[in-house]
Amino acid sequence: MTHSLHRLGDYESLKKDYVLFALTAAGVYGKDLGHAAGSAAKKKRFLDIVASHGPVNMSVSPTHDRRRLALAAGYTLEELRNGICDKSEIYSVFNNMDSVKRVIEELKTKNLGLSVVVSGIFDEVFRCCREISMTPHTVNMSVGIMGRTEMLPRKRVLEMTTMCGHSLVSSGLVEHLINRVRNRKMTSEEAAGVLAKQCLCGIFNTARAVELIELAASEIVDKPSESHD
Amino acid sequence: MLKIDEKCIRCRICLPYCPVGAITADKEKTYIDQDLCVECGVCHRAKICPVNAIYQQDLTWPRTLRAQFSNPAAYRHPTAIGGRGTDEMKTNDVTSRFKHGEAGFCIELGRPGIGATFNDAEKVTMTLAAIGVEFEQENPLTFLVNISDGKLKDEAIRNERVLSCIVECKASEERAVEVLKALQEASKMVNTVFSVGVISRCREGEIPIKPILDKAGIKTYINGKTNLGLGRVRGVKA
Repeated sequence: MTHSLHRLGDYESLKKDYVLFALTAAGVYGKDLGHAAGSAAKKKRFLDIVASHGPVNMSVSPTHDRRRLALAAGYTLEELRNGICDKSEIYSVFNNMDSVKRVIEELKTKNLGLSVVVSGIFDEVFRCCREISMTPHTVNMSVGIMGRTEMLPRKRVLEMTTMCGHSLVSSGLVEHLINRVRNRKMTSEEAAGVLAKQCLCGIFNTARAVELIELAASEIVDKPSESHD
Repeated sequence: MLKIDEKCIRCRICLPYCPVGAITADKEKTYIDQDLCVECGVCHRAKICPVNAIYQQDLTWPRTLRAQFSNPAAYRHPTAIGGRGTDEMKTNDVTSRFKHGEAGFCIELGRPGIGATFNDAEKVTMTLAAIGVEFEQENPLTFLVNISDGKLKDEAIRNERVLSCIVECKASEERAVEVLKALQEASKMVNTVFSVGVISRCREGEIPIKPILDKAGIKTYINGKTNLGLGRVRGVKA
């Protein structure tokens, strides 16, 4: 599915938001391509490579016992590692492109054979690929939101809720936590932690959320129907 | 079915957690509106109820669809196809699901955070079927519609609400603008929102479909997904 697509934000904010993940094809049209079989060891190597470059969140789903484990939900790196099976997808979130570039360089060298996807600013990702002599294979571009956009929450809130592609982070919870931070009943870090726990796939960017919550808490909201373009 | 039992102390802590606003509190009780609830499980999983009043009852058809499409932790799939969609372009370097000259489309009904019914989904699938796209056969929503006309196979599911469901299809690159214009028409008929993604296989480091969309005045986000092309099966790249 498309859960790391459609993350909303401006250039400056999205420069601090990259999702990098690895997976194997289960097969296509009933044909097992043999991509997943025996891939758990490679995925563990992928996890170790990614972990060594300072992600702000990581996750494994599904595990061999069909769970979804994310660092932001309180699981340890070792628990993530132990949960990896041939079917697992390994997700990581970074708040800078330099680290992503170092991960990609290392992955290119290690040649694990896993499918690797980066969600982030195309210009930055494509420049990175050119600099390390890689050719991007396929892209998925968002052309935005259609339909009854008047039903949507305000843009600042959407910048946070769209960091969980399964829409498990409620706009009501975001507004509630912004108010608590504004009223000094909790810190922005604590609020980001609460939001991140709702995202089962662990692709919620806690570092970016802290910045957005602080920004939102300092704003006076008098225009609920901002543009969503 | 997610419910709140008599242990509830009406503290209202759970209210903001529901992504679709299905938890309601009045003077006498706090309850989950079963029409609005999409069975995503957020309220139950969050473990925020101080008296454990939120509980999950077993689901029966067609309500089971709500959990399949809304709860990523649900592993019983009535459509026999897991999750909300396929790997689409994420493993295209191995599967070649999208070839040069093709445009893929992921139309996610209800996203972000509004929810949708299968009635909404049918508006989109009928519109696309009418112009002749190729629906993705391994997608769980495709399983629920007739691909010839896009109509729902089972009337019983029409009003089932889900957090989101994805129409996946493809057409030739030259028809991409036609498909997107058809979606703009369909968007006038739905009682929700949908997020649209366009998939394009790169050629020599460029995105072939980008100038086609630019020429038609169709804006794309500055960010999106890039398959780096590192996938191999026994050393073979698709």
